[in-house]
Amino acid sequence: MTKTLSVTSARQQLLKLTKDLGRRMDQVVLTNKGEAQAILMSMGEYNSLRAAAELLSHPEARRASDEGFEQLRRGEGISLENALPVASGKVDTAPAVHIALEAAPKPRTLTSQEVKPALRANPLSQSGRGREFFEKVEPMTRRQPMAPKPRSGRRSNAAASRSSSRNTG
Amino acid sequence: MAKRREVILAPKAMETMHAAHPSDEELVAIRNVLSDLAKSLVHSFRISFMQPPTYRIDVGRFRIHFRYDENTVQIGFIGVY
Repeated sequence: MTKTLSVTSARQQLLKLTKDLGRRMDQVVLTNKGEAQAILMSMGEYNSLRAAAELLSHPEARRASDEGFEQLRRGEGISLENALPVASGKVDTAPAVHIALEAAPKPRTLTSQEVKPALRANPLSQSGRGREFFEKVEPMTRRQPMAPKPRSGRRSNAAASRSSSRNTG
Repeated sequence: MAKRREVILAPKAMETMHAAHPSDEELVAIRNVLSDLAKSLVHSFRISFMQPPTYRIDVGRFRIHFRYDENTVQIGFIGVY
């Protein structure tokens, strides 16, 4: 339930309002001169909304969470004692690592239908556009060696002509 | 005496937890919080708009998502985001 109160009225009963919010998880809209200015809500409700917003901005976490609950629904859950057993005051991670590795997606062999588009899309592959790229570029780099660098201490003709034109202009 | 629920973890939750490389101290803290969830849900809060009702409890940088019924607490996600 959302209540609307003026700031002046809310100030007079702030302690009671805070207690009510904690118990009933509702919100109070605070108005000033008839205009809604602020909202008062319980910490629990604020955390709930924040948690939802955070989860919406991390779709990979949302997917992982959904998958986890789906596994539990299928009865694939592991008890805490088996997943994270305590041995001499320390958490034994060996069973947990084993479970995590078992749960991780396994590599699979791609079918030829999946491989062909992937190769075509890859510019470095030996087929499609990649092949044209190598055919064009490689002979050029072989035939044209790099021009020798001008000797240090001497300016090149181009640089000299640039500076002379600057002086005259 | 408070009712004790069995804590059950999804393999996916273990996978996401290990992907975040928890330190020994973090593992102990996560273990303790999960163990406490068996007795009390008091430090958790509900994630709005999620159905069925799903709750979250934070352990340092780790976020734990769970649901519960009369006898079990089901951990669907332990990870970082």
